[in-house]
Amino acid sequence: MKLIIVEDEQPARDLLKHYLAFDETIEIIGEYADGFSGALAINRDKPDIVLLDIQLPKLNGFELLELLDLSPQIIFTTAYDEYAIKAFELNATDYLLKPFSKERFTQAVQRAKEKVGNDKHQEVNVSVKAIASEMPLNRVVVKDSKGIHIIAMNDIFYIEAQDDYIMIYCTQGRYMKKQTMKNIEQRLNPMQFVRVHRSYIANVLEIDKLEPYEKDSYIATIKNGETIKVSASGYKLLREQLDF
Amino acid sequence: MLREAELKTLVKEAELTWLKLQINPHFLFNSLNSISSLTITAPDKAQEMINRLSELLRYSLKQSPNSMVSLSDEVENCKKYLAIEQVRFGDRLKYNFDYSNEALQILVPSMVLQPLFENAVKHSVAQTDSTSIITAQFTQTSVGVCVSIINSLPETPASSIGTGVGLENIKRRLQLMYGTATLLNVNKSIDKFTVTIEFPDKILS
Repeated sequence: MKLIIVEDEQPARDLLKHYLAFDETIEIIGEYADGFSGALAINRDKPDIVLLDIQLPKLNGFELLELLDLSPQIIFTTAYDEYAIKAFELNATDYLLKPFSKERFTQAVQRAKEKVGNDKHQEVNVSVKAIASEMPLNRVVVKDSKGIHIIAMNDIFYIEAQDDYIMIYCTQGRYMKKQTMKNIEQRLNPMQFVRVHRSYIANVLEIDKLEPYEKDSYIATIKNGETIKVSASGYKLLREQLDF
Repeated sequence: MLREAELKTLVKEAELTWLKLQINPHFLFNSLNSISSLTITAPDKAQEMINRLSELLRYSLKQSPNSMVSLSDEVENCKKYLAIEQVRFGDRLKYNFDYSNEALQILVPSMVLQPLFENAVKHSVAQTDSTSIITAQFTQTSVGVCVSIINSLPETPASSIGTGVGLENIKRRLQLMYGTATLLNVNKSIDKFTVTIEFPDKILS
């Protein structure tokens, strides 16, 4: 069975490998020290099991999960993390609290191995995704044919609804992501991002001009020169937020 | 009688809150995990790390919200903290201290520096796999000592933005002890984060 380790601390990786050395059925096919290269490797090499830390450089463990095409068995390894604790409560997946014993580790791996045969490469575990999708966003991670892109909140001009997808317009260009407007709206900082229209969420810091358009509607000019529609209720929200 | 008991409970609660603030569970459990690993790969280093961690915990348990210590004690404690973090992060973490021994003689509120280094680690080395540098400078001024702690910032935006609670706590304590609200300042540039504290020679009596 193929296994990948995503863990940024060398001693922690050493310990995992030491525990795994006793299991002949497991082959470690890769070790990665950040979430970015971990996500790429998992999608490329399709391991059966992943040992995943949550606090990682570049992309954290939850962001990594959101980028997976297919889901291997995920065993979280974490020291202390409020979201992990939430995951534990929901019993979403197996998790190990550092430091953990060899017995506890073996038990988790055993459980994962048993599940591999049953639901191999399924969609990412629904409840794990649910937790990831509740977390407030401090940056947006998107994936396209060129790779993975990390967009800072302040770089976003506005977001547009496109059926089950959203289009993110930012300083680096535009990116499509499979996510609902409702979900992303809930996770954005409401002081900065306002749902100005059924189809648009605007970064209020990037609005240049607001002008009446048709009856009960407005047009906002964004600092990148583009314009978006603002509905009557969106206008009301903007007035509250920007205090004019 | 009842009042006295109540008062005692309040004092106890305040002390417990204080202790809880000093010990960062994420740091503690990750360090224990490193030790667990070192007991197998390098037992000598494991022992060294246990000693360091014990000293660090003992130091923080010994302090109370009002205690004053020499800046040199604080610096020693922070060096222990960073040495432990370096076991976890290896070459990814580099740090250096720049001071004269005279500058470290001044008395300062205890446990004000370590949280600043914890912040520096959290926002630099924990966010990137390339090398992060933390620099601490201690300069004597006409009114006291100025401490600057500077950490490099990674290129990618951080997954978590600090709530600033840690800095606010330190600010409040400094204000209570010195009667000035402007002793702690932060400055953020594109690749660097700097916290500066001006410790005056005299505290409020």
